[in-house]
Amino acid sequence: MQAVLSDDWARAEAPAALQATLVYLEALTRAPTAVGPADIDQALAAGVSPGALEQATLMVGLFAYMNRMVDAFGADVTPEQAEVIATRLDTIGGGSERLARPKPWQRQHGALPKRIVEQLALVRSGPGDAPAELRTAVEARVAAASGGQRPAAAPLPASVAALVDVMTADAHGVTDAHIDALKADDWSEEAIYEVVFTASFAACVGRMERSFTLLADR
Amino acid sequence: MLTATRLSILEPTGFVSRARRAAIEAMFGGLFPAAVQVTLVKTALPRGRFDSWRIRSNAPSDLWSRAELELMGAFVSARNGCVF
Repeated sequence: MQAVLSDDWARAEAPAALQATLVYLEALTRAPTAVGPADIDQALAAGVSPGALEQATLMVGLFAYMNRMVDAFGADVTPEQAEVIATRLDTIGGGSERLARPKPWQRQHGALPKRIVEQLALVRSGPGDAPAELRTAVEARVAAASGGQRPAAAPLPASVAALVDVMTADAHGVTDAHIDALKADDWSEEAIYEVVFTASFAACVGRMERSFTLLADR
Repeated sequence: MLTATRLSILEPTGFVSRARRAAIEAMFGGLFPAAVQVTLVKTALPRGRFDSWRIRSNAPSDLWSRAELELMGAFVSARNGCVF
């Protein structure tokens, strides 16, 4: 595990298909707008099925979201604490027979999961403390920079743009100053939370759209 | 854990929230995972659809085992510069 997580993970003795999948996940994580058909071809040539790449894409989306949400609010977790939490999560979360039971993967054929589509509509036009127009613009800006297709987004207030742009470029890049700038502009804590949620969600959705679109006819 | 919480709404207040936190800490050996904490905040923006997808998105299939998906998650998290 440690070898796979470190930068020399390519030397890890993982099966070829898993290694090829990790190469794809790294590209989709670090440079989603640069991911193209050649990345898909490389993984497929190593024996990974299109469906397996689709499901693996979910992990990129999930952690694009979770890492940004948690880091933006000031998380500081030591590797030892993370190990304890992961172990407990495995016991608690893994205890659910319903979630642990393998189910056949259903191909996406270019479509986002239904729940994601429903959440996208709520982000754009549902109730919230942050104005819907602001959330729509944040979603479009981050999703487009994360591999999705969006029309040009409306401009954002400077403090909001600074926050979501750093979140887009670096899941680990938010500082106290970014959040304090929004507070100084009189955004409520609920509105700031929603902006962070929207940007994190868009980082997830943009990557999923990119990957699922490329895999649609494979 | 959120060791330098940037929003006060992330801190559990009131009897119910503190009791929930105590229960979670008991499950996690005295720790309060940040990933749990950020999902408990209530705002006017509904997030339930995404939360249900998030909980189920790492379920194993006929293509990937739970262990493989966990490895992928840890790998992606590490590439994001995070340890959770």
